Amino acid sequence: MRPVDGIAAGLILLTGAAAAGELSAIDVDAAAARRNLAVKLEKVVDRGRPYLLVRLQATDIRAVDRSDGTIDGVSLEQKGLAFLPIQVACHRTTLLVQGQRVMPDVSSLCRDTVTLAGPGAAPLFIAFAMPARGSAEIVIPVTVLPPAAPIQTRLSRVPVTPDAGAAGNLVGERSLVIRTHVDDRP
Amino acid sequence: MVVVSALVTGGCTESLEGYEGSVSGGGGVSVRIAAVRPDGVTLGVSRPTADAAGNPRYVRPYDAILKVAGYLPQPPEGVAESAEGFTFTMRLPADLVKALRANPLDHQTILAELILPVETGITSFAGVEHYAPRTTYHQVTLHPVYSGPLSSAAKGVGEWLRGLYAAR
Repeated sequence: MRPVDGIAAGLILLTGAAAAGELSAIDVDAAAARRNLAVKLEKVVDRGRPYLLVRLQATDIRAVDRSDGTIDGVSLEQKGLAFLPIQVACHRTTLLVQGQRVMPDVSSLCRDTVTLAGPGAAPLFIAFAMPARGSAEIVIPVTVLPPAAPIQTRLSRVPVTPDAGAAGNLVGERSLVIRTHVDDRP
Repeated sequence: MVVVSALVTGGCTESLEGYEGSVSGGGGVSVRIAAVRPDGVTLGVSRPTADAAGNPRYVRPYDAILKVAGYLPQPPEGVAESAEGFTFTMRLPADLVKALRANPLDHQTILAELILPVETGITSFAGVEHYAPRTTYHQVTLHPVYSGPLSSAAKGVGEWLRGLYAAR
């Protein structure tokens, strides 16, 4: 601890900064995880204005149905499954709150259609003006694409084709619906 | 009472000079703090070496993101390229800087996540290079540095104590 820290800590009751508030995403985990997506909702502030921030991140874990009806998370690499690229239409994402449809704020870093081409793709951030307290629903239009063909680094007689079977019925245009409850906590 | 009022008065005259800090993590990409200013930090990134398979890797500093919990993510303010790598300046959230300026006695540590896209180039047998996305995550730790009577006094006391300890 630096000297000035010690003096201040010893004599003054420190007031911490407002803790970052994460919101629980309800009913989204399985739907997103089947498409190799992780979702995080966070209350944030910018120039005194509160926002609801949605973080979407590609993962290499996919939720699959087990025979007993439960859901299991499996590693794509271990199971030999292909990653399904996902187009996320950030600018068409909406927040439904009390019957009103709200579009993303201009402060969103993601403002267009972006493709998460692999599990290592950078996360996307979409910001909304903080809705009033109560239930809210975020609808994210996504298009799941067929797996990309592996890059052939050597000439092979056997054509390398993507594992189309693994894609199943996940490919196509979908809407990811995230339900949450906005509370008063900071 | 005298001490408390001196601290309060002194605290009001403290000004935020910059930060001391470090960057950790990274998945084979080296990031360092190149410069600081009260409202931002300049980070330096060395050009990454090839991956284990010998594929070249490319840093995409224009797409870097600095995320402090509780604040909107920040894109880079400016990027400069050199032979060794890149430097890019990330602005800290204005509300955070405002809080730091207003509470100089509250020496909170800032923990930020630096999200830095790094693509791997994979060359096919036809000689075409394809880019596989990857992202490296780094933790940036910043301690605010202030100047003013309190900081000077604390520095003086610290040096005096160190001197006493050394002379012991």
